[in-house]
Amino acid sequence: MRKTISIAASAVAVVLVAGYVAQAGTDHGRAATLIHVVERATTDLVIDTGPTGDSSGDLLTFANDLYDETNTDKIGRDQGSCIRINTTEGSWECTWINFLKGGAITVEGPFYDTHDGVMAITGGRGKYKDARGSMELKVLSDGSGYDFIFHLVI
Amino acid sequence: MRKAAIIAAMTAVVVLVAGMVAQAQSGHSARRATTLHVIEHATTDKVIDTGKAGDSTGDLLTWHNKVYDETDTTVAGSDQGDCIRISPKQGTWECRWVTWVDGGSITVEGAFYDTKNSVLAITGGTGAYANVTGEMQLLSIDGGAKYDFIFNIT
Repeated sequence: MRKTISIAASAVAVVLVAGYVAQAGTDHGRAATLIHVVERATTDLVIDTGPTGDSSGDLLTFANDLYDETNTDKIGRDQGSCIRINTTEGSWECTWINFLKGGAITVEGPFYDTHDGVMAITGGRGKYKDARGSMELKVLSDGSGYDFIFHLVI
Repeated sequence: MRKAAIIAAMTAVVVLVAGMVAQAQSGHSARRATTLHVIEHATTDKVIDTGKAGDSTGDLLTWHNKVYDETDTTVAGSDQGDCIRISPKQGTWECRWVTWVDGGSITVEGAFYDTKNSVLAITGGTGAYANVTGEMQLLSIDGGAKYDFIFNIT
């Protein structure tokens, strides 16, 4: 009987520890996922508002196709807009949506003329509903588009 | 000997459970109780007059300012963002911006009013703030020369 109690107690401890480790590994149930797509920037258009020429308040709109991380197969599309913030620093503030198989991911944050940036994932729909995390935005070496690297927490 | 083993096993179970409960409680409280208070110096705010001449729906407001710690003494980061004029009669704008602080950034979206304070939604973040939700109180100081940003992060 005592041996049975001892074994039972040990079993309970093992189960509790295993469950705890499993939960910790998923950030309290929110698993981390990496998605890498390539945007071909074929439709980007600047709308000149306010003073003629590059100035705060100018608009940038786009609706482009998204390809897999090898830039080979089309896997989705995006659309969005930016507002020119600071012409000296070359900064824009942007929001857009990325339509992917099974849902969509929305992002917001800075875009720069001359260097890469990191944006916030603000939500989504479908399989990406309630998503959070961040997205690396990196210009391709030939300037034809951008890497979107989503670090998703769902 | 057997009695000692049983007591040791039971003690181990109690200690494990107590430890997990304590961490679970601290984890939950950490996700719901964080407040971050910074003060923005509104030195670069600029209105871009679009559409009808003068104050009209669709006008833009852009900025890229420094933010200070809650004692308004030391630079704690910066921000950038924009608003679109919604109703001149009601003095309303709809805004989005990113605030960079130590360890990451926080994005917000919501209403800004000419003559009263407001609360905006936290839409996401990067780095240490990649998974955040919550709201941000926006309080005018010195007639709009500065603003309290009080992030209530969950």
